[in-house]
Amino acid sequence: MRTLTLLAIGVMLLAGCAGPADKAEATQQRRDLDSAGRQVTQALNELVPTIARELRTTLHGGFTGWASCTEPVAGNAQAIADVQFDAIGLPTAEAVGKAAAALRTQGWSVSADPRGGVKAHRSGIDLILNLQGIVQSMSLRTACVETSKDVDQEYAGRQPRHLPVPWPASGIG
Amino acid sequence: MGGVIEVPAHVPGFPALESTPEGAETLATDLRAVAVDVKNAESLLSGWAEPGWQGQARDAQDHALTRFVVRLDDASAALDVAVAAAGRFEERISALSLRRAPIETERISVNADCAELVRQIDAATDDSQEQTFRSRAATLRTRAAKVSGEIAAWVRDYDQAESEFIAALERVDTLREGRIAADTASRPDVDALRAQLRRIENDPRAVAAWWAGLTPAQREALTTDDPALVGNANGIPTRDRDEANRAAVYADIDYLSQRKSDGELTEGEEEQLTNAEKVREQLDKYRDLVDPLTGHELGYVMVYKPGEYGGDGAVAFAFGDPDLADNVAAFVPGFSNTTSSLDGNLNNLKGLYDTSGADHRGSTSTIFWLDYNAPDFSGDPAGIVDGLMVTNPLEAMAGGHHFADFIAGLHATDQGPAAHLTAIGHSYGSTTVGHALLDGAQVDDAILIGSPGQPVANAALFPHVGHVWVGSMDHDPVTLLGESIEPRIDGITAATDTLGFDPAQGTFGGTRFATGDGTLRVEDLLQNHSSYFQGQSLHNMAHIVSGDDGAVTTQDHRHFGNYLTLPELVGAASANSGAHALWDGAVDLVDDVGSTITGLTHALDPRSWL
Repeated sequence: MRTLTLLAIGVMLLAGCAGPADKAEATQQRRDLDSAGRQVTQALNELVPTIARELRTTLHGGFTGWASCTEPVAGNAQAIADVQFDAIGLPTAEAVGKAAAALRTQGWSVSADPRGGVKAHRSGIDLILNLQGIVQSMSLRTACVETSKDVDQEYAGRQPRHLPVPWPASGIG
Repeated sequence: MGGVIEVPAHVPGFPALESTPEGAETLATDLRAVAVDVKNAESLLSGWAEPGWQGQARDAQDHALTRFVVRLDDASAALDVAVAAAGRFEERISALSLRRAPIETERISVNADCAELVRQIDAATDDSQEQTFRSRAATLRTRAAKVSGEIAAWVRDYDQAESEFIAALERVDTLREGRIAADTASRPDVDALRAQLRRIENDPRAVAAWWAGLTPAQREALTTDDPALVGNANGIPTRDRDEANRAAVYADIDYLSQRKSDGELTEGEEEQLTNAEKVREQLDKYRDLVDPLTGHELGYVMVYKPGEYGGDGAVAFAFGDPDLADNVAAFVPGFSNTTSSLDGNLNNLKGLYDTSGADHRGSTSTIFWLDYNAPDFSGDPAGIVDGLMVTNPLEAMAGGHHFADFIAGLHATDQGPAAHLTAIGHSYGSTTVGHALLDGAQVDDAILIGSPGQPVANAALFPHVGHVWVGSMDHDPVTLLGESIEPRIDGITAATDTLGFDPAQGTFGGTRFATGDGTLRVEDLLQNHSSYFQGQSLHNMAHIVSGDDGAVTTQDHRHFGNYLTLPELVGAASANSGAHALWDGAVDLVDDVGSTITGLTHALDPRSWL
């Protein structure tokens, strides 16, 4: 067992904690994460006004940015957005139906739960909309992008971008 | 139409507010942090003397210091009053925020229904629907009047909360008033309160009962006098622990940053400052998100000990108030986690919070708990030795004891119907959870993911757990470190130099939920170990946390012959990757590491492999 344990740790050290990725790899990983970030921003620009209009609500607040998705040792990061809306002016089941229909129109694959939730997926982004309580929550997560630990930490360490309230008509860039 | 149909006018919304729950919370936190700073300074200066000063210089110093400390005490008493007022104001504003949401929903709905009725009346070409329109208009008038009245009452209460808060602050805004506050007989005796809490701090139910019996002023005074004691005491409500810990975070950053700019920061203080800043980063990240249950910020700091465990720090952070939530999950991370790794862990726990919430089986709270010495791998020899302790259960045993106390605290502060409680452990953290369960931690469900071993061969030996679930990817090498419970083909069980038994085997008695196997490439093996908070595995954990057991998908238990052993896995993964060089490198590294630390590690544990 001693050999097996040491072997496993050795393999993990080599595979997971290897030195920094070479420059070309790191550049590509940054491109991939930047692209994931742009996808989330673009989705927000479509979703925030749509949800606000369909559910008769307004943006309460939130942020977008990147986060590590495989702590603690391996590299891997994803673009994320966590958003909340104020109280909605519709019964929950009706709101779920309207949100689901609007998302389908925008090309999302949707599964809706009339008790108050919508899960959706489009182009590598998972969306969860929870309609319960005094605020309505929406989270967006891209798939995890394989990176070196350094690139993962660089992006996860960036300050999140807090969303402007009220949401600007032109969206965010 | 035969006459006018009176549809109510558009009901105006709530006025723009200067005081928001978030703003009130920030103000209260800042005031508490200042109060902590002042009390720390008071404590440091009381009885302080410059070494070597004698005679008149010493007398003058004593006199000046005494006067200064008295003034600090006046300020401290004034701050206690201000902090208590800010705390009350914060609670009132949050309660008003909760009350406002359904009124706003009804207002939007009434206005939309009125607009629709007007549209239909305008479009009508005859009188056939007149009675229906009149009836609907009458109903809408009643609804509009009710919602207008509720908005007016809400605004009155809001104005009153603001006026009373301002009046409370004005009562202590001069030095003289501070002195009066310091001299008043009703000033809380924090030394006595501290002594009382110290006596019962290991009994969360007693702590909860004692805390409930204090006045708000006593609670606030003890919070700012000893935030570390209040913030980390199991049995004190989460909301109050959060207030104490936030105050400590900001006061630590104030104090240690000043030490840094003075060039006086020690190595240990530097680690504390880094840990405090890591916690502040996360508070700032999630600051715009509101707990749908309470109207407070979504994040709660339940443990904050920046200097613990050789500088790794201890921290617990919850999404949603666990005292109020219907479903609560507490997660223990493993190998290589410190306060510095908060970001990815909290991202995972936020994902679990959202995914579990989407099951709509009640409200949710998910907690990241790291208040034990998780074995670490850093580059230096001490770090390597620490890392190799991963096969040593001592830290898991000590951590399990702590975690069991934390769970007892959650039971003690739970409000309303008992919450459905789930303990989750990953990697070495699953072994820690196993020891907590063995220690008597009472949970409805336990989820063991990426487990290198459990302290018992059968889950039935955990005394107070309803159901044990196991997530083990077959291509996660760490899950192959556990001792086989089933006799091997030669009838001999594995050696005992492990962290315990493999819970993925059928005889363990857990339910193995579906996680997928992970990728069979050597460079992905560690990714497999770190991927339980994604995809199918995440969704299954979310169902378990929400109590939706019927939605959980399962996979076959491990039996001899139906999975790869560790050498087989590493060999197959290397072959798949074409990574023979990596394999050879691993073997060389193992030899190097083994020979370097043999002597150091030998003394650590008789069960160690060396």
